[in-house]
Amino acid sequence: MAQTVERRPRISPSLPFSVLFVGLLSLMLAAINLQRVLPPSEWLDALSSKQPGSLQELLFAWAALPRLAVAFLCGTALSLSGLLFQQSLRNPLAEPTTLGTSAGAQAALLASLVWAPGLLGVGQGPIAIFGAALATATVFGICSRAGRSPISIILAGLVVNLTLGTICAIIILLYPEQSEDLAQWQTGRLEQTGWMPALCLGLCLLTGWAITAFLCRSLRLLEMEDAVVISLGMKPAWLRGISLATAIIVAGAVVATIGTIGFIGLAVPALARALGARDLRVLVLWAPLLGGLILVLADQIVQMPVFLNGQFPTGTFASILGAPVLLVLLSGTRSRTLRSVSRPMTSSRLLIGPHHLLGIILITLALLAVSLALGRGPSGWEWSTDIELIKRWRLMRVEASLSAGILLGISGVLIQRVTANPMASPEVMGISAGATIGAIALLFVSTTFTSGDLFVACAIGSLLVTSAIVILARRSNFAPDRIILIGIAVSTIIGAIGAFVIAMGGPTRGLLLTWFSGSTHRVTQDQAMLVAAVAILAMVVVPLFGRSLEVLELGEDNARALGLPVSATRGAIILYSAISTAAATIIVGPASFVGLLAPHMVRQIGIHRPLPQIFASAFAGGALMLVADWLGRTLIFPWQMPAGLLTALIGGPLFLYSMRQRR
Amino acid sequence: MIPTHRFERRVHRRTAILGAAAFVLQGLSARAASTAAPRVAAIDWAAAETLIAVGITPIAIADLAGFRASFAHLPDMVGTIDLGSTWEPNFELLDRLKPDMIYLPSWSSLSRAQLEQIAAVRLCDIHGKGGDPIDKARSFGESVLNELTTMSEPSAIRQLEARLQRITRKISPRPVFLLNLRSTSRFVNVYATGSLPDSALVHVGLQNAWQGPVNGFGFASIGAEKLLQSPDASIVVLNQNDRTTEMLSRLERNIFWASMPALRAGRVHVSPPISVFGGLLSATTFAEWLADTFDKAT
Repeated sequence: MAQTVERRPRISPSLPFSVLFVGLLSLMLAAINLQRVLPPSEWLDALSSKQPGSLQELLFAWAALPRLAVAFLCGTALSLSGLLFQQSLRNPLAEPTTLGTSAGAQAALLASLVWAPGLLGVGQGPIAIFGAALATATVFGICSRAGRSPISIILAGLVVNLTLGTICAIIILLYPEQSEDLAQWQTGRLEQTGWMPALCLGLCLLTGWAITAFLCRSLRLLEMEDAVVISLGMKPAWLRGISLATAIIVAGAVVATIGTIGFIGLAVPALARALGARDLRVLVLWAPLLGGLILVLADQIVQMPVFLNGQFPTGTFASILGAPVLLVLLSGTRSRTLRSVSRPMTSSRLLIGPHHLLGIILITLALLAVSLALGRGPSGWEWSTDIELIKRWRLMRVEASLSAGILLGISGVLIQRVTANPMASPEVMGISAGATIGAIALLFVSTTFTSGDLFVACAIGSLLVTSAIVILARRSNFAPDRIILIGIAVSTIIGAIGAFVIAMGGPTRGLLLTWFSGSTHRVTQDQAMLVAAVAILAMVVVPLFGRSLEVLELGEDNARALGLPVSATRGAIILYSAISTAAATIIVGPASFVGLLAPHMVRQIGIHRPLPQIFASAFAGGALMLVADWLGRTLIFPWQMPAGLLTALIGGPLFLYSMRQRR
Repeated sequence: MIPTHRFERRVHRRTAILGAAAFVLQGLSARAASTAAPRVAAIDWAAAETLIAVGITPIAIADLAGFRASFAHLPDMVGTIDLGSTWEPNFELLDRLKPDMIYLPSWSSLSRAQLEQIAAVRLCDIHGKGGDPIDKARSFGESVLNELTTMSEPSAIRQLEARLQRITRKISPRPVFLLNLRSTSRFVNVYATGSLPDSALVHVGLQNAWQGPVNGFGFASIGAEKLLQSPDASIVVLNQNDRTTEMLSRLERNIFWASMPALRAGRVHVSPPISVFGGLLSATTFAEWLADTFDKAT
């Protein structure tokens, strides 16, 4: 039997040492924080007495200690969940936040908060777990035909995340009062007022961990090909199902207890592996332990008085802390996580002829006419011929959204081709997030800024982030997987900061919400002209990249053999996309995902050569934005729906559907 | 909650509504005497309240349904049009309504350039710009009077000022928490410096028990256990209509809330429905309720 010769897993000493170090550090900080609540001499009394006497004792035994416990349990649960996802999907990027699990739990909680507040009395746990399961099942349902390749699962998870985020944003816009509490859930605050949440979470976690430990030996087999596992007499589908269900329930319980905390599930197992734990039997024990201690550490740091009087959310802090850890890990190891996917076989190849061009021109004109003239007024639908009105309020919005769509369509194709990665896009890579960080920085510097300042701030932000990506990715010769991981890391940090600023409330809340939602509402004539100019320039400049793109497609070695400076070309194209994206992001915000959707739509039709693809994608992006802007202006008149939200809401499901259809 | 509280609340609510309605009717009759009413659009809710208080019904208000819900003490408006969200008022619709004047909150003055193409724009700086909201509300009210009405004194704003004058520092100082409840009992919103309720609190002579940091609107979301840091403080729960009762019942399960000295000593008061983003009328009504409540409580 294989078991008898199997050796006990070796543990390299660096893992226990790190756990010990983090543990001691967090214990020390916890002691410092706890003695501010209650002098250490009274700790035992406070614990042994059934009824807390003084207020200090109450705070110690019913707020500080449960918080400590919840922090540890959440860290442990998220690490365990991440580990299970990664093991059963053979995908080191899988974790509750990348698979839509957390977003599903959150959306379910928000929906019940707004429409069925009575349900919350039943318990947040079941609602959150239901949402988590539904979202994750959607991701798997979509990928079931695509053979669950790691890349397609992450891509589907990303789009499900985006769509759920959009739904939440729309609920927040329509019900601002009721949804205020969502902001707290998004930032992951750990304040506790009793032992009940800790107890429930602990029970859930213990069950999950027991199941995992019990299945550990079989789960290790999932590292092999399914055919091998079946030949060993196991049922991989069952194994996977059980471990995924466990992961979902554990992650859902965390969201129900304290909200979303990103990165722990991704970073902690990666950290444990980097510290030498290769074997699942080692990981199952040490990764959750490490995760729990790391979250305790983060939570204790956040409670130090120097930190905004202890009001900084732990989840935000953990993300800010975790992302650099991930980046360091990435630069240290040569990861082979996401191999660039070979281009899908071109079953249908569309050749662009003159009649196509004529059709495109006609469609564009029709769309322009409708979006300019058809609208709603005080007395209902109308075909407006008031040129003054159109020029004053509609023209620049149409102009700006069309141009922004064109720019995103172009940058999307450029980035996808350069990185040879169909899930790359300005949004995924963090370029749009860079523009957001510029906008947030501006908010803190000045309260009376103009739209011109906003443009400059966004451009600087996205150029900085892009340069960072280019510098970091240079070392790996712009390997696609590296770029995506860096992008996800950057987007997560910036998303966490944004969620925190929104949660603080105050005047900036509304501004950030509209920024994230991508509204063309306040576009000025100047901005519209600027973006239009950048878009026209792009249409002229991009054909120059045509040859390089075709050569790059032959593969790196062939391209070099043909005399193409591969790294320089890639860097230049990425930088150019960054500038285009910055201009577009000012108009439609960071989350429209037009840059991801438009190239996919075009590929779906069967246009594969670089230049036709770029122009078709530009047209698709422009049309998408144009329709979204028009719908946004008319759908819930006199209220308005931000165009960026609408493209995400329409495009997301469309994208998922097309993913499912594709073999 | 204790039944007497609920009863007290209902009575207060009724008197508040009656008072406000009578007050506004008075303003309306005064207006009728003057020339054709100015066409005013309000994107700022505090400005809308002030306008209604001096007898000018805005032709359009941003987020009208939200405004009606938060300002239930104002009489019904006829013919007022919804302008869409406060953050993104519908420019096109507003343009076609041809207003003479637009009141914009100064904390979201980004749309100012666009709105100035439609009509004269006035900024309302009662909230979110620092300073004492009651002072700001007073000077804002004066500016509205000066610009839009031809009424002779004593005008509506002067009357509110006189009512406020009467209760200045009327109550002996003691610490009070101003709370807005949340749907999770782990957190409460606490109002302090820079918010309208705090301004009214300080005006009648009370002290705000929350000294920690707050956001630009003068409130912060804090863990409920932080309230124990000032065990002597009384608690005022700012009433948000039907949601408050439900949230109070949820809070009762919270051990910190249950062991709050204020609750045991009957020092928890639920206010009549108030709008924290209101103007001088809201501030006066709330200040009078505070003076009344804490006068009896001594």
